[in-house]
Amino acid sequence: MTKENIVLKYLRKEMDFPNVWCPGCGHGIVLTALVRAIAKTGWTKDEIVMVSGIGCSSRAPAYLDFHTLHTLHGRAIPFATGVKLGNPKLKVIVITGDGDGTAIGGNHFIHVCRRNIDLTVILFNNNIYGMTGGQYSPTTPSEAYSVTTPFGNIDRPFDISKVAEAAGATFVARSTAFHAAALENYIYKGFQHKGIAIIEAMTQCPTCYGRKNELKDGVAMMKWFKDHSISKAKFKKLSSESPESIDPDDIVTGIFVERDDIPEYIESYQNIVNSLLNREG
Amino acid sequence: MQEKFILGNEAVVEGALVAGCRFFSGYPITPSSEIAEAFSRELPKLGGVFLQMEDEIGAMGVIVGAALTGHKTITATSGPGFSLKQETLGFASFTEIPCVVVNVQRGGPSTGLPTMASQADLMQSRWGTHGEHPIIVLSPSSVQECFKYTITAFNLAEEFRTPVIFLMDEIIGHLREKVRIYDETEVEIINREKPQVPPEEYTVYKDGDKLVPPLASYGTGYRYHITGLAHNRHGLPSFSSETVIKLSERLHDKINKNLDKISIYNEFFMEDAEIVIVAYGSTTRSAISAADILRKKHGKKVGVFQLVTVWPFPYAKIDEFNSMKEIVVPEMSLGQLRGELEKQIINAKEKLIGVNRIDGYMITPDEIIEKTLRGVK
Amino acid sequence: MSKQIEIRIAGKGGQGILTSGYILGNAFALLEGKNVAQTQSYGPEARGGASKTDLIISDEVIYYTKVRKANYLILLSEEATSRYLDDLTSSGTLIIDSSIHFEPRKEGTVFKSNFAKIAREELKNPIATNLLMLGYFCAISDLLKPDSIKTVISEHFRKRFEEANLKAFDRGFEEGKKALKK
Repeated sequence: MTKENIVLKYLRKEMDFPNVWCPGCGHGIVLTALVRAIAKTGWTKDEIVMVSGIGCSSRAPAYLDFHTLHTLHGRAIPFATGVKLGNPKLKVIVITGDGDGTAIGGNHFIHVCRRNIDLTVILFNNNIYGMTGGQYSPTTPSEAYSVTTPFGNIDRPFDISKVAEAAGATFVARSTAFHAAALENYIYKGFQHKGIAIIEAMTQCPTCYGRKNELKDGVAMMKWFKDHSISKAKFKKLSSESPESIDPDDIVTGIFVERDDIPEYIESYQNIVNSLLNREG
Repeated sequence: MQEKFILGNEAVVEGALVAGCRFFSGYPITPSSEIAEAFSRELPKLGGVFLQMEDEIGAMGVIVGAALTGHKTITATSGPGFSLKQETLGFASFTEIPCVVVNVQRGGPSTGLPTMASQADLMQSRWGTHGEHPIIVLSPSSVQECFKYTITAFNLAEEFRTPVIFLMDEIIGHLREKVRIYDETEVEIINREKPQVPPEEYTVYKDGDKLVPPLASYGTGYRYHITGLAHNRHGLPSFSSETVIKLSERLHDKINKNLDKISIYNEFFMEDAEIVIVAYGSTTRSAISAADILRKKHGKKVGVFQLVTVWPFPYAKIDEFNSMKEIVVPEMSLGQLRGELEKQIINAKEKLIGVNRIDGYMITPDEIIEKTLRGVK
Repeated sequence: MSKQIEIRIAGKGGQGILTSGYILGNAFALLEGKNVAQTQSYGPEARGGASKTDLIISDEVIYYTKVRKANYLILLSEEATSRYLDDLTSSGTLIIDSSIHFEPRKEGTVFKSNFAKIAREELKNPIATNLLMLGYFCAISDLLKPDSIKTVISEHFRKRFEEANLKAFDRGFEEGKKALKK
């Protein structure tokens, strides 16, 4: 039995291929997981708006046959917020990266979590600024090398999922390009969630990050994800039983937040509108 | 028609609502905040959207995104916020997304004089973004004009698929006057053109030879890409010389070849004028007052030319002033408007007289009268 | 009214100066059919410190919007008095709270009244000082009908304060009339 490639159904025919991503890049895997999750929802192409900022990951929407909006560095979330408020029937998906989403766009990121507006944000975290040639980002690990940390990174990295949770996001999950099935599942759950959903997708950049940090190619980096990922449940167990066995570099994966007790922003706004309209008429 | 006694800032809101705008996003900043406050009261009652964002840049992104769903959208700010919005303004110009951006000018640079007036953002409103693109900038000189020309701003934004800047100043924003509010049946309202072709034939940046291609709203069956990268007719990235040059030419042509619709100005006592005072915004009022006194008390034949559309600049009209004995240019800046006139006036040094103030206060009629009588010295 | 009338009302934050400017301008513009340009102090200076509102009233179109020399100057605080007393035309009318000390003027007309005291002690309604002042101004200036201002007062404030507000205005008007007879 030949399995149908669902992704092909969603590719934009006018777009030139091959895509902009390097050999070994994890973005294609994340994008595939995303498209497969979309296919599961049964949404039509006409009701999906995909909004991105600037960076490698933000190039993804151009390849897909939805309403697609490739905006400015860091600003995908405000544009997406405008689209969603302008037409709440649309399914609005934000594609961003670690630099785009948590450095230059960091203010929008925390506030969209607080506001709890019904958007799904897929944050491709490859720990580096790839498009500009490999400068360190807010998620580059301490001591790691990049073209702007030639002597090792002295910054401390963000844990993006924790930032999202602290900022009030009502759905937060993380997986990696190696765990594509789990990633697809989390994205799908994010789509089903009413309110802000942040899905942090760990993805590899062999060109800019791996080569500088003793991970020579995409395969080596995928293997690293495999060996260094630890489920939320296992992390919890180890934390109480043998915390010394946890590698501080390990990536904890799973769904960290999933709550439905916080009102969604547009619903709250619509309640005000309805009460005013009732009062008038 | 209904008469109200309101602020210039509030008249902008009245105008926007009549124009069909139901979407505002902004960030608090003096002296424009009354605009946000009035929208926050009015829009929910009309089923419209008001959103105060976490910063100026965010608010600008929100109104551009919402415009793609078919909304007429607006934001309001002042100098520091206007600086922050520039990158997104360039995006909206280049991607041809209509919206209105109000800048109630205050004294600058930097935090400057937050509660006082200025007209020193004239050049920023034209050249504030990087790269080159045309822009439409309107400036009102009264509360009535705030109402009237806000509607014009939306009409031009919709007709030419472009952001329009509404360049006010603190004096007009914070001035209360009687204003006649007309309803939507009493004024001309222009809505953006929608595609007439089926989705498979639609291209977001090309429709035959039209300078302004129709813009489909998200969710109506027309799927397309928008990017701030140089783009082809589908909106997809393309860096070929031919595509880039054609796009730039069309962006400029759609404005420059429609000056008859875009260029708005008002003339006072110009029939027999030998001296002209060229002004915009609140300064126009002092200019008219000064011209009146110069005629009555000093026997000088003085007229006033008010730019309502400050950009694109009316060079052809300014060229006619070469026949004037003197051209007086009062402005609350060190000479940005005068500098633009210098491009068109022969022997500018012998004809142009600047009346400049940068301390936040309105230029007085007396200051204009004194400089006009003294002549070019 | 043949020429342009310029009015300045100044006091301190919390005295309802800006509201009084709005009410007066509204009455002139919408009920008396005049052209009006009203401006006011903004920002930190409008809260707590000195507070000021200017009105220009005319049958003609008003171009320059700022008060140069006021025909009527109404002062409700010491600070406002030291700052603005000189902005009155020589023949202009000064209306000032009796509690304020100031250099006597050589020309023009001066009306003193206990706005704050009457509002506080007699009406037990200190925040209505501004309405009392408007009533007084209305009687002294004879520039507009008291009903014009009263209509705006009724529309502007919440209904439950209407009676007290109109009472303050009437009390001021009565004081003004009394002062004219002196």
